[in-house]
Amino acid sequence: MTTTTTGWGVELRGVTQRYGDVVALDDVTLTVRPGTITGLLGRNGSGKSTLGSLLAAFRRPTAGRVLVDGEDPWENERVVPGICFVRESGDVLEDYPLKDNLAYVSGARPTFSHELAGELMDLFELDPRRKPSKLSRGKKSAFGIVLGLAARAPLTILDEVHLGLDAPSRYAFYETLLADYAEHPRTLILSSHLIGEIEQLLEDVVVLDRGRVLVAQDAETLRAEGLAVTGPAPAVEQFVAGRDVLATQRLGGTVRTTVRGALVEGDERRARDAGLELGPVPLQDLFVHLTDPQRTGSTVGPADGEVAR
Amino acid sequence: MTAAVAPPRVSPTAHTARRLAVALLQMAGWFWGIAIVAIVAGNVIGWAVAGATDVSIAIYARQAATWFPFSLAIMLVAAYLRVHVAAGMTRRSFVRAALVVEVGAGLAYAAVLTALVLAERAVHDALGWDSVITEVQVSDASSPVWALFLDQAVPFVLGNLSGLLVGVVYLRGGAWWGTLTLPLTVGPLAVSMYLGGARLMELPGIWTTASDTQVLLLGAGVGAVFCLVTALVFAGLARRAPVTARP
Amino acid sequence: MFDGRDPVYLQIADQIRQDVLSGALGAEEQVMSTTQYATTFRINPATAAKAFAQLVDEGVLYKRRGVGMFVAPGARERLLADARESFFTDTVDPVADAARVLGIDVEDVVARLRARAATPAPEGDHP
Repeated sequence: MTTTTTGWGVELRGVTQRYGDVVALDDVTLTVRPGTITGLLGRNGSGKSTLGSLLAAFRRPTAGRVLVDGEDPWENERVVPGICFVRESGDVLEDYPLKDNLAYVSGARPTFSHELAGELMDLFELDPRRKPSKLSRGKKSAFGIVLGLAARAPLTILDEVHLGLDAPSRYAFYETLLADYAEHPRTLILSSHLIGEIEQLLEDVVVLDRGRVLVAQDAETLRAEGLAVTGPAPAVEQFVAGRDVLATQRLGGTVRTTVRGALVEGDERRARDAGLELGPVPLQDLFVHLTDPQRTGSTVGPADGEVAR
Repeated sequence: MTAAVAPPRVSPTAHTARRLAVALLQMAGWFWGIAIVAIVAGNVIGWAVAGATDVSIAIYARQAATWFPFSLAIMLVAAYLRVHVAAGMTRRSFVRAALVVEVGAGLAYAAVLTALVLAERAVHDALGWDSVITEVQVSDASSPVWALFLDQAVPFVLGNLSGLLVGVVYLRGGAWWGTLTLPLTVGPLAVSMYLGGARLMELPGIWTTASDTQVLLLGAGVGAVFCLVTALVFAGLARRAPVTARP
Repeated sequence: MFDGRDPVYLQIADQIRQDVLSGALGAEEQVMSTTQYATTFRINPATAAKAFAQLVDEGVLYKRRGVGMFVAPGARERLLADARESFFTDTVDPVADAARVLGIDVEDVVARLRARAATPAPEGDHP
């Protein structure tokens, strides 16, 4: 028997998840393209972890349908071995050595790579004889990454797995993830607060805000939509009039306004003539502006975008 | 792309059953090790104090051998259901694995305790001591081996299944529901343990006229029904259990 | 790295074009694989693949099945020809425009160009 791992697509149709009075996900309809690395971004409590839990059949939605590779994953014997959801809290046998944990997980996952697991254990300097309950936060995160990547699951969801990892370890994680993803394509859903670090890894981006989908599109288009306009206040105001203004910062007579929306023909020339500088907006900034609680919706007038920083 | 050959994959039920069995076996090793030391010590003390130990000390392990695995079963649900599902397996296969292993563990504990009682009895016989059973149960020193075994097996198996049920109720309902429903989740076990013993008291009814064998079989029958119901309720609750983050 | 406003794949393609133009990448020389590129610069492999696909379309790179990507023979010459073509529109014309705005005589500009061309190029003449 041979295993070829290709990515699985994900579809949510009108999915709502309530915990008592709290609405964690509110009528979410979303598609994740198979074989992509999709960033799942959102502030704390925006519903990211709940979304992961539903995809991994950790729980059942209050309403709506969740489809992984075209099927409801709940108690689905074909689908669940191919879904791997790793969350920061860790779902491991706390009082058994890491090697026992690896043996248990590998026995349950048909696509598990012992070779990759071994490489990652070495990379993160994890001692297979240690127990998870005795590990530091960073080492625990690292072990979650080992399980998540070595599983080579057609749908892999990594939720804040970088917490507690130092920068060199995180970079090693990104590099290994990319190398293994290139060799063994799969669908990866990556959630992280370090947007600047993972930005270039992403092909698609989903932004959740208070249980709703705020943005779902490819990263390149999203980045192209963010525009920082810098220059003298009157010229900037004239240029951004009628655009979706996300934020404005003032420094003396100079204003820097962040807008969302692709440039149209002639915009660059107009900006140059008006002495304005057009710059890119890092995804991180775009995210911060989009999920600013003072924003009431996606269509706000220029006056609402004021941000004091 | 290089095509890797997948290792032969055991069924998820067998995979988790093996894992659970290993965990329970480790604990059983400790439990019976300590029990044997205590039984020997009890016998020695009885001999030192009274010159002879005319009661079965081993049978006193019956209570501990009911409640210790019961508590392990509670922890087993708390610790393994989450990890089992996170490793890409269904609750259904967890339920099957847990039931197989816990029923097996109950029978194994009953077999070990029966063997210890018999071994102790052989020693007592050789020394010319009696082996009176004072524990609240139906079988006594004169009962056949199967009766002694059955008398242990029913509460042990039911105890383990009750443990699974208590575990999953705590998991799903939290501390409040877990505690409030204890009469329902553990009640059958208490009834089953003392059902035979009730006969010893001067209670009216068939208890006084039925033979030991009849009472034992009746108790086993009632116990089997309790086991079935407990297992079904456990399965029903566990198969719908959400997997929450580790507390 | 890759922080301009252009899509990242265009920036990657541009960088490779520059390397071919400057001779850092010679004809028939193998370029990094998509995976190597992705891991080295920590970018999505699809992005790197898109850049390579564009360069293959332009004839700058060509693919050897199962081996990898190589710089096409004559790629540098073609890129040089393109660059020469756009030199006047992209570089010289703005100078002329700026000179007119500033009121600088065209003859002065030409004189400056002659003087500059006569002195040896400074070290590391890159922007």
